[in-house]
Amino acid sequence: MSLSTRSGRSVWLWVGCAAGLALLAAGAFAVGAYPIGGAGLWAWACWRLDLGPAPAPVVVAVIENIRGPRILAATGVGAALATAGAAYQSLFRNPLVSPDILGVSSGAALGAVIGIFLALPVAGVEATSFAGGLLAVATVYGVAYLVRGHEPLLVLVLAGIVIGTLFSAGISILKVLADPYNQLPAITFWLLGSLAGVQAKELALLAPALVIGLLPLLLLRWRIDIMTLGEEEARALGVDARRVRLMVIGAATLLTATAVSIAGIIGWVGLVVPHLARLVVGPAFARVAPAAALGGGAFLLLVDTVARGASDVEIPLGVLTALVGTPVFLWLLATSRRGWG
Amino acid sequence: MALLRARDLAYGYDGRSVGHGVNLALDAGEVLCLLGPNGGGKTTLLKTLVGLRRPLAGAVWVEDARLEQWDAARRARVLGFVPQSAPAAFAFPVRDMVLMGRVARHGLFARPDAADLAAADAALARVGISALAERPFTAISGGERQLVLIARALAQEPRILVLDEPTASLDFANQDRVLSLLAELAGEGLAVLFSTHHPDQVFAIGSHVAMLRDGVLMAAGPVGRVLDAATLGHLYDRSVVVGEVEGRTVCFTRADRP
Repeated sequence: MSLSTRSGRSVWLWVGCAAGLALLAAGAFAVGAYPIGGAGLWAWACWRLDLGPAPAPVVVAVIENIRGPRILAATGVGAALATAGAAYQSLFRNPLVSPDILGVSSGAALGAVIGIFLALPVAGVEATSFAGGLLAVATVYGVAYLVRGHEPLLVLVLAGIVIGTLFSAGISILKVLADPYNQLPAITFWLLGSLAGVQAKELALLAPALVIGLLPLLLLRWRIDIMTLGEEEARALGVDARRVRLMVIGAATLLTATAVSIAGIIGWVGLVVPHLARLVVGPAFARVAPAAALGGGAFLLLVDTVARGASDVEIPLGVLTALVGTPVFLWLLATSRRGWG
Repeated sequence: MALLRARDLAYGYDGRSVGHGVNLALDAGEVLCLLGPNGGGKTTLLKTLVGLRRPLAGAVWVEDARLEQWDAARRARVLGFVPQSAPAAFAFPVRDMVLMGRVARHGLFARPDAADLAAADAALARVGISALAERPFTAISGGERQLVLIARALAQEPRILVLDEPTASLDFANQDRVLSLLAELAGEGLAVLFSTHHPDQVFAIGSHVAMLRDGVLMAAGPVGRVLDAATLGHLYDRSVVVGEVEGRTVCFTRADRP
């Protein structure tokens, strides 16, 4: 699909995807200890719109305080990770990179573990996690700045790997030091990825971060396409490559750190979803970004619903996404010979 | 005043000097060809002349402005650059690749409009590759890619067109097509500068020639005055024969050294 060919068909494709996501969300309400079907949702919606009587208090509580926030969080976190992944893949000209590069995930994870270790409240853990993610990027950027004179993107990626390893070592030290009865399990479960504890007030953090992160990426869509040609060619075509790179990395890092601070480390979403999106809608970021956001949101919502509905014990999200992501990724690796997406 | 001028230019990359003392001038309507052995610094010189690398000393001027002081967008509206090759990571359709040449005419958050599309299609037609428009850039041949890059530079609507070995991976017919196109463009008032390994091409369409060896200009000036068997032989360390065939100047090397 070319940037120049816009058909009515593609509008309906987007409408269909959005409708599918809404259906999936409605389905997710029906899974859990207190299932809420279409009738329950309808009654609640009518009541909220002042069109009908109030449903039972337990229905309101489940929708507004328990399952609603969790469904929104799963969708938002999935969308954030997948869009960030799409942006990193374009910027680093490599369809196989993910938000884990630049050490963002490790940095955010270390921040959160410090928060848990210091027994900070939930909001405090989120703040330290976010700070950790940004610190990781700043460090990686600093290293890349000091080691000039090489291929800049390669240096950034390698510095990201090294700094990520260092931060992971920091996490290990804190695990050793942590109280083995309370803190260690909390740290471990958080690192595996979970949305079990999500509350409405965390959504208040997720929503603005999503907007602030997604907006510049969507606005920069054409420039991001040109950045896939490499920095020198982008500059030759008149793109201020440094500024665009900084804006894209800043926005994608904000998305990643927010997702990690809310849900822990959930791998694969940011790698596999944008990759599949590119296979469906072509390489233009103007279409890849919304496709990845919708796909990532739907995927994580589905995974989270399975995680809480499949058994009595919640399955960690990171485990489920790895179970799905690994075979899909290997399949992609085997079938794509040249000309990714 | 020359459209593009290099004055006492020293150039290189990563702080390593490649060449120095380069003085060149290029005017509208001229075709300046850059000749020189492999590893002589042609690509680095071209990249410095279009502002992709900072001069180590001296300066590049576009009319009365120092190129270094321009931002990337302003530079790209005046100078079109065709690199030797473009490794593509993603499978953009050819038309989208050519459209990218229009980005310098728009703000940071823009996307291409109808005028850009028209310019891209005109550029594709001019290079004769309209049929490739919908093909993925990653699925076409190396020669076809080179034509796409030329079309992209034309979509920039530059005043100066700089090409790094534009015919390197083209077949015989396409080499001829590109050379004719470059001559035509110069006839329309574009300033054209390209590097090549074929002195024949310089005789065919060049108005001026610059001979670069080990980072230093060995000779530069109008083709008729500078380019002959002696200077070519000196440039390439070979004995060179220059002659006329059906009104065209051709040249080839002899096996023995001079």
